[in-house]
Amino acid sequence: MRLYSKWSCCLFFFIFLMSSITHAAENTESPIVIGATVSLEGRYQEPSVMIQKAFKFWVDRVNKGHGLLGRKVKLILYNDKSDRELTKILYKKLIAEDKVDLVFSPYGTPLTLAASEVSEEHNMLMLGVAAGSEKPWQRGARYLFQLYAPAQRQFIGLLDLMARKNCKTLSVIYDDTSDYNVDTVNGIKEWAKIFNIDIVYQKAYQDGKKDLPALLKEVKVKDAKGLILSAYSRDCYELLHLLGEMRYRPAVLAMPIAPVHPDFQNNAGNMANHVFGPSQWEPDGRIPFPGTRRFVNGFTQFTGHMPSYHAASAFSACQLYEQAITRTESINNQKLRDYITALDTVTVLGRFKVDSTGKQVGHNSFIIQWQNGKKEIVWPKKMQTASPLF
Amino acid sequence: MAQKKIPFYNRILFRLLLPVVIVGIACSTMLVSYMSSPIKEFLARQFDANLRLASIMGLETCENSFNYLLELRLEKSSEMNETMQNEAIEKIRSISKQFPHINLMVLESGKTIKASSINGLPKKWKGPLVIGKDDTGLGFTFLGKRVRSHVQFFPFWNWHIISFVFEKDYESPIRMAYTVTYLSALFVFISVLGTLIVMFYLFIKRPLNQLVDATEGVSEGRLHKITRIAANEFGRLMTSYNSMIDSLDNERAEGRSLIHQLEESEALFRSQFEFGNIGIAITTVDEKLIRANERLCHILGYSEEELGGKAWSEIANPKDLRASTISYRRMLAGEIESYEMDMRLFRKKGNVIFTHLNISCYRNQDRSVQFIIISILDITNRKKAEEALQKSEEYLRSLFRAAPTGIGVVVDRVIDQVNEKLCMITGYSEDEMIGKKSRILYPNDEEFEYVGREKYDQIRKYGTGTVETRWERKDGHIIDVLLSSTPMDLNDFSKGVTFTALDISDRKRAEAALREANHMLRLVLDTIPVRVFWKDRES
Repeated sequence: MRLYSKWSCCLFFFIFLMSSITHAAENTESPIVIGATVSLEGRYQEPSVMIQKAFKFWVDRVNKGHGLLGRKVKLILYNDKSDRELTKILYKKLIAEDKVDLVFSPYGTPLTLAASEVSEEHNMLMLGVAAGSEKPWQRGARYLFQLYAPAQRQFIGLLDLMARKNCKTLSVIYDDTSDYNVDTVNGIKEWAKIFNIDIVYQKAYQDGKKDLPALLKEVKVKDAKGLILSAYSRDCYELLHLLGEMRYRPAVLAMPIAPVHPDFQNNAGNMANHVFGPSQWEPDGRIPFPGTRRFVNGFTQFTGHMPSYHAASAFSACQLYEQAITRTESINNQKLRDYITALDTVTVLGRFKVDSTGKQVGHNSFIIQWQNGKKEIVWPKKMQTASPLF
Repeated sequence: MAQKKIPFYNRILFRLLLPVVIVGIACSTMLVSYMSSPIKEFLARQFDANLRLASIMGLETCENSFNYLLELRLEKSSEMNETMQNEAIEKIRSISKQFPHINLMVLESGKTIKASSINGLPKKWKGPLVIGKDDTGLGFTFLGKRVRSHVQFFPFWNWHIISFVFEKDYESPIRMAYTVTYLSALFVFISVLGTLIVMFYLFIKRPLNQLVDATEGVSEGRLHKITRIAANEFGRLMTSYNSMIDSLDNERAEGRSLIHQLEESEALFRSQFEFGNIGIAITTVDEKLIRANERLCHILGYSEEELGGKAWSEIANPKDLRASTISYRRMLAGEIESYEMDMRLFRKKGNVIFTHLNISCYRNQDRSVQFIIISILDITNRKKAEEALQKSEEYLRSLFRAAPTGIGVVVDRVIDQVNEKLCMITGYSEDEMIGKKSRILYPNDEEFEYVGREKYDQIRKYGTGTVETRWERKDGHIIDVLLSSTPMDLNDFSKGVTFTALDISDRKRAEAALREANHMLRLVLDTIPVRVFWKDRES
């Protein structure tokens, strides 16, 4: 009897010891490491910084909570300097050396293309947080998914508005070094035809600083009702500067990327007024997507800046990762890929639904216009915060 | 003259209503002219807004379809587009049903009528259209009629969504608005007028009528109070009127009471005047007869006509008349209201009658004398009776004094009257006896009781009682008295009992001496040896 009692005590002690060790091991489990590059220099700097802030905001929020699957999240971000080759190298480093569990995409279609080449090689899931072009999804990528509404569709709303206002002529100039801009212009051409808008002038360029003045002179000669510049922020500001100098302003002036940034008015001054732009999302409480208000408030509090749609897109990607990991209870990229492929949900950015190629088919962009220092949604009508001004 | 024929109320009403009618018509005209323009404008705006709304709703239907296609990425699918277009057309048709008189039409490429809420329209569009200018109002002729429209352009399908209304329909609410405005003004005017008339009737005419009727009633002697008291100045007037009626009623009641009293008094006076036992003469202040009643005529032996205008001095004893002069003057001066006196009057035949006069006067409000009223009581018989009585009294008094026996009257055995003889018999003076019990005359109580008992028994039996008794004089001597008493009223001794007292002391003594002499004689005769006899003169 005494012997039996002694063995029982030993057994209980052993169980207690094991459970304590297990618990300690859980608490000290290595964090989930997510890697990405951001463009802290170069042409993509402005939107990319927004994406960086969104990543950090999300990680902070997750780690302040229960983490993911009980594990903290660690974020490794490298500066890709808006350079495709460097991006490639850095993603290789992230996967091979840093042994990241998951990767986010860099900013922009060119860098996403470069980064996804590496991630696809390693069967790593990548959510394209800022890739509007369809090109990355035309290569048969299996692990790459798009969040943005495709570039070809971003100006549908503006063309619709122009058609309604009888603005029947349009000039288009674009940076053809970016697939995004090429896709955008292709979409414009396609939809202009549908809306019976005549593109009277269309020119591509490579170097905005150098080419834009001459192009603008030609645009002025054509004097179309509308002018669309499809380019990244730096060229957008350059265009506005030149227009200011030329004292020329078509009835409709539109450009992507730059106008959606909260600082556009500050950067562009009076020239910002009445500028149209396509937006994937706006930090407006009236946007009917769940969590929008909480995200805007949280982000503003965390960073001291209002988020742009780039930040919302990055945060949306984080939300999708979070949902996939939680639901699958795994960080296995294959499992996560399968889950996201079949996903049809709504994030702060809006609807997320991809087709079999990973291309976004659920989300649509809308058109914003700066009106007297305020960014207003002017299209589609159901989300309109102000009527468009021409 | 014509104004007099119009009733008072109607004059007030007319004077009240005429300005109201004039002002009302002026205000109504102003109101109509002031209101009709904004109403028309409002309705036009409303109609335009509805037109715009209908076209916008049509456009939104298209936009929703477009958004749906965009979301599905099926915007290039002709099959899907056709489906969505058909669906949109159905919705647009249903929108037109929500707006009365408003039609919706979908124009494709500005040339073909794709759909319309009006059936049987031609396919080809012949109307004008400013293509591309959406959200614009447009007036044009369609199907031979003027229409007002709103156009929204939906570029994706190259559709113009036209909401339109035929001007006839468009203007009908405006015409209705005019009609409503005029009718409203008329209604308000009639309402005001009607209300005024009703209010006038309720608050002015009716109470005024009540007051007038009541006042007229008063003039006709009907004192009716107003029952429905209005809660306004009329009410106060009515309340005052009712108070006046109350006081009038009270005064009337008092007057009736006074009249009744007067009537009673007058009847009494009349009966007294006509049928009374007293002669009544009414004279002027200077004593000329105005009226005389039948009794007076009878007393004086004149007819009323004969007495009329006759001076009082003609029928009155001048000496008695002079005696009344002072009192008469005092009465005229107001110092006394009336006075009485006896006066000898001459009858028609010349004989004198004794009368007792009560002379009073009827005064005016200033206390001056209007006429004199003389009540005349014929006291001739009484005078004669008094004289006879006086003589009888004097006779009795002399008898009372001259009687040789004492005479007195006792009431309940208390001495009331005594004559001198009784004073002499008893030795008491008249004053010493009157008011005293007759017991003072008796030597003891037994005698006093005995006399009372015996004498009153006899009185009861025979109406008179005689008893011999003994009195004690004031000086203490006892005397024999033959006392006879007779009551003044046999049935009521309390009225007094007359008695006579005869001093029989001497007779008693003589009888005693005689009895003694007889006894001596008998004794002598019985004892003497001789025969002695007595014979009378005849025998």
